[in-house]
Amino acid sequence: MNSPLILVVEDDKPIRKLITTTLETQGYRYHTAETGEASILEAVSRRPDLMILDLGLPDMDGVDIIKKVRSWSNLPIIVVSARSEDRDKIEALDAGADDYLTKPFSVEELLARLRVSLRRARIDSDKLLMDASQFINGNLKIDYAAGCVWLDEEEVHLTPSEYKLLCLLAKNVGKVLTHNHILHEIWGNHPYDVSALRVFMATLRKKIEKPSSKAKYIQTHIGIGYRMLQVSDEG
Amino acid sequence: MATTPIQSGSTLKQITGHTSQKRRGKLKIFIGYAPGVGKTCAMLKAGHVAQADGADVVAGYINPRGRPDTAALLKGLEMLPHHSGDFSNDRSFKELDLDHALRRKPDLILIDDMAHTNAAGNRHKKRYQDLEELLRAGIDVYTTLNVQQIESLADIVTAITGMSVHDRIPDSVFDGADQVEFIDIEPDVLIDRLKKGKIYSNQENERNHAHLFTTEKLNALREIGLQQTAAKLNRIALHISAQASSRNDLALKDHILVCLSPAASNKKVIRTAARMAEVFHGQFTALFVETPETKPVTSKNKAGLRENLRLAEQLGAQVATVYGEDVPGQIAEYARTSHVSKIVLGRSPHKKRGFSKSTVVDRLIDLVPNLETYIIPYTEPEPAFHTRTNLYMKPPAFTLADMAKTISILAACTLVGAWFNHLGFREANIITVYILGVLFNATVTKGRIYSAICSIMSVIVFNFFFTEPYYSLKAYDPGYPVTFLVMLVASFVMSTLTMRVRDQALQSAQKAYRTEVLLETSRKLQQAKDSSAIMEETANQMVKLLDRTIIFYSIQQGQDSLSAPLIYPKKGVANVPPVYTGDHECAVAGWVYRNNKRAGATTDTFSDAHCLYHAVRGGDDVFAVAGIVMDQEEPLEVFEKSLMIAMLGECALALEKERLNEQQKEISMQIKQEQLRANLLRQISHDLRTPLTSISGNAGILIGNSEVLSDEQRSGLYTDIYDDAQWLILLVENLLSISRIENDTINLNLQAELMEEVIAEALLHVNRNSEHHIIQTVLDDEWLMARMDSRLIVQVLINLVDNAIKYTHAGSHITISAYRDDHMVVVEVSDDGPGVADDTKAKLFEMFYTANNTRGDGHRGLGLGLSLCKSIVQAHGGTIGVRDHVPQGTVFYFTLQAEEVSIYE
Repeated sequence: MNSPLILVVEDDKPIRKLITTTLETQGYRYHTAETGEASILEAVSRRPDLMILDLGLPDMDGVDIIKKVRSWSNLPIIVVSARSEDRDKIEALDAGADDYLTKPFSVEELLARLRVSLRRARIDSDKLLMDASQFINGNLKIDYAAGCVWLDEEEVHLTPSEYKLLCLLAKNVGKVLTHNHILHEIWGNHPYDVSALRVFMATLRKKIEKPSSKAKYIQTHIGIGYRMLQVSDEG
Repeated sequence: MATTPIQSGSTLKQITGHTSQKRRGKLKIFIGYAPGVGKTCAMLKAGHVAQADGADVVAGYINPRGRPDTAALLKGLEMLPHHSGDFSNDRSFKELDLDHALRRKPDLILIDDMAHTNAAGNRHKKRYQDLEELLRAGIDVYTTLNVQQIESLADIVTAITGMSVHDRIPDSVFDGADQVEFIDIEPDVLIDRLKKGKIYSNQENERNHAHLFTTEKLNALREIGLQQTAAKLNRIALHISAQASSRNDLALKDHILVCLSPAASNKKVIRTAARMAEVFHGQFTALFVETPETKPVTSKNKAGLRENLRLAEQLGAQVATVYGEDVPGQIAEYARTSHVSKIVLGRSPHKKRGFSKSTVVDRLIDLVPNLETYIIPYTEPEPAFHTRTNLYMKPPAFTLADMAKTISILAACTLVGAWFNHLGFREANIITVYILGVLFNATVTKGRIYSAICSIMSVIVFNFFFTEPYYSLKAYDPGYPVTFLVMLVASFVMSTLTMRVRDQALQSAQKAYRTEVLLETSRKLQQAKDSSAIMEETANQMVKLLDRTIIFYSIQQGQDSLSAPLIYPKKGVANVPPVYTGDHECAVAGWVYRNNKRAGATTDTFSDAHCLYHAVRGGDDVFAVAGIVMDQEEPLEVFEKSLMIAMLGECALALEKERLNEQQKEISMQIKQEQLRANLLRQISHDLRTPLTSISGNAGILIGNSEVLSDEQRSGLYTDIYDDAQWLILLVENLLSISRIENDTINLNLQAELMEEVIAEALLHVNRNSEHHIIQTVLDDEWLMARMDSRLIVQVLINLVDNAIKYTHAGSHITISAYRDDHMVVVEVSDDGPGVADDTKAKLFEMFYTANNTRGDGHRGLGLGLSLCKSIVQAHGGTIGVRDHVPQGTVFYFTLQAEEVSIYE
């Protein structure tokens, strides 16, 4: 099986070099693009498995590129940005990006995010073939038909809100969901604000992440949102 | 007329842009001594010359009067259309179209007859005011004038020619002209011209003016004209030399004081004084003494007084008003305190006063013997003004109540008298009772007429009831007439004195009220916090003082326009009709703002407006425009006006102070920030160099000599590069946070966050050296939430934990705990390290402070960390501090606003 093909869109040469070198050492195939125009062309012609996109390109706004790509493709997009403002990341995530990295980032972090997003893409495609009546992630099992959640073969009792929250995260496993996105998906016209969401999320975590087990299902992105992680089968 | 306000309002807006020009136009006056000397021709020729030089010249208003040579000169000049508008009541009058001229905005405009009075419905009453506006718009103006049209010469010219001139201009306008050209011609030639019909085309006009054209009169006029021009030249020369030597000797300067009265003859006095001020180059003050007797003046007198005040102002006088019973005393007092050198007064109104037989002039000379006093006689018959008898004749109001009081007092006196008579007391006692009655009457009734009636009636009643023969008006005793006379005089004197005492009490009460209002205003203005509060206080005080609705327009800073009007209705008026703040009124207020002049009702400019507008100004800056609703009401009284202007002055001072304060604050803030920034830059460039040297040096070794290095050495170098890079990252993060805080503290992205999440996030980013320390988190409530900008608070936690790692030995315990204290969340970072000395605790949070400064470059620390933490926490409205940990170590703590979340399923 071919190794995944990564499209690296980055105008700064040293960073591009850093990313491509990293990819090479891990055995990924890659293509590069330096401008927004080129990136869209490459994305169309090469059909990459994942896109690493710098938000600050000379010719186009990165968010516009995301919107364009999303109009015809579901390929995972990891945004790289030197902008430290949360607003930019949220904008990119809401436009359809899967994940984000803030410069400066470490190589390990980049690779970890890459793996998460690739796995999510694979699950997505598997889902089409598989029976989508249940979701299994490590020791966590959601039975959509019965509306039950099982952890270590033991049923977990969730409130309706917590259950909806868990299902939303599970359906977007590996993808960072912004606060507003979650609020909108679950409660529609916002009877709650972000602080309530935090409390629901914390109670949900207490229920599915036992202190005894090392497994971490939900990742917090301070000021941005949450993500469910795919726990690797072996760990 | 009904359509006029809207029309001129809309045109006003169109010219807004023009009037804000800074350069003022130049005014050139072509002055002649009689009609027909050739002023208009000279002006038109000059216009042609200017046009030939490339200037954009238009003829604004030229009256050809059917003279062919004038009409010929008009050829080749652009003529502005004349304003004929809707004041068609006088067909022959066409006016200068001011708005059109302002829109056309030529370099030079030629306008005939500057002393002309505009027809009703124009913006200004006089044409010279139109010219003023053109000059302010930066347009040069050529105009013509006859010498007899100068205000201060009006008397002299009337004396020579025997006819008074209606259209006049204030001397200040003539003096303000940049150039004056005297158009001279031999009187004989002029008479010759008249005879040839070159001056007046129609016969009637010629006959009217024929008496003017005699050689003597023309010679006299010519002399005056030449004198005026010479004087003007002299002034220009003096002005230049004064500027050159910057001589400004106040002590040598004359100060001329003129006393105002409502009488028509007072105008002559004012003009004479103005000429004197002119000749002596002195300061010129017009003083009006308000006495209880001038108080109840009739409306005619009021109008006369206002007219005289305006004349004095036009002639360049400072107008002052003082209050007091004793006119000469007040004048003398003012003269002494204001260093007046010459007093000018008319011999008219204050001829004889009260019981002192001396005149005002005599008393004044007694009081200030060392001042020069000029007395201007008047010859015209003066209509009897406020002599005492006059006041007796005109009661303020004849009320039934006062009449009833008078009658009942008389009745009571008569009853007591009858009783005394019954007891057999002597008549003297009864007389005393009546006099007491008169005295009492004077205190309880208003107006002298009741005192007079009471005095006379008591004599008659006494005669009727208590003298033989009883119940008749005859008196047998030959001594009785004397008794009656003495009784009458005694009652008159009593009543007069009582009335005066009462008036004085009333007056001093009023005076006290005025002083109080002013004091209160200044006190309130001092307390006012910002400019809007200042304006509100001023408006409230004005409503209180004037009992009229006040409208305030403040200036929008930076936008050069007026903001929406603020309305302060007078007592008892719930809603103000919108017409007071309509488009036209706003346009007038805008005009006042741009021209820094008062306008509106009761003035010469926009007199059709509903309100009177005054600019609240300090120097050349207008801070606001105050409107006083004058609709259907009496014009302001002199004292009210002066008090109001004083109030507006206070207001302007307060606003100016406020503005200056703000600027000062801004400047000092900027300086502080600049210093901080400079320090920061210096420190940063130093602190960046060290890790960068290490990174580039180590990388260089690796590139060049990687083969000779052992694996262990290589990995050592890699680690160094990585650590220094990490250090740089932290530095950059801190700097970014600083810039966020400093740019705008309000821009915090405050949200309720779970402390647990925030602490966990912070621990992910702490220094990797942390593996040698034991870090633990203690939370007494897992749902503890606080309001914060999570990014910045994470930064604070990272800095505090890194700090703890940096200053403690490997293996130390670091505890992060958070607990709730009332409505705050307290976060603590404690360690069991060596602790902090007490004297350095205070300095810890200062910028660039690092413990053990002596270590120099070997120890990297920007000292930004803790000061940054402090500014972040303070921006959140919390506190940060440090204390000793028991048994050893340090505790850093900070507080945040706690947050409650209510959840329901």
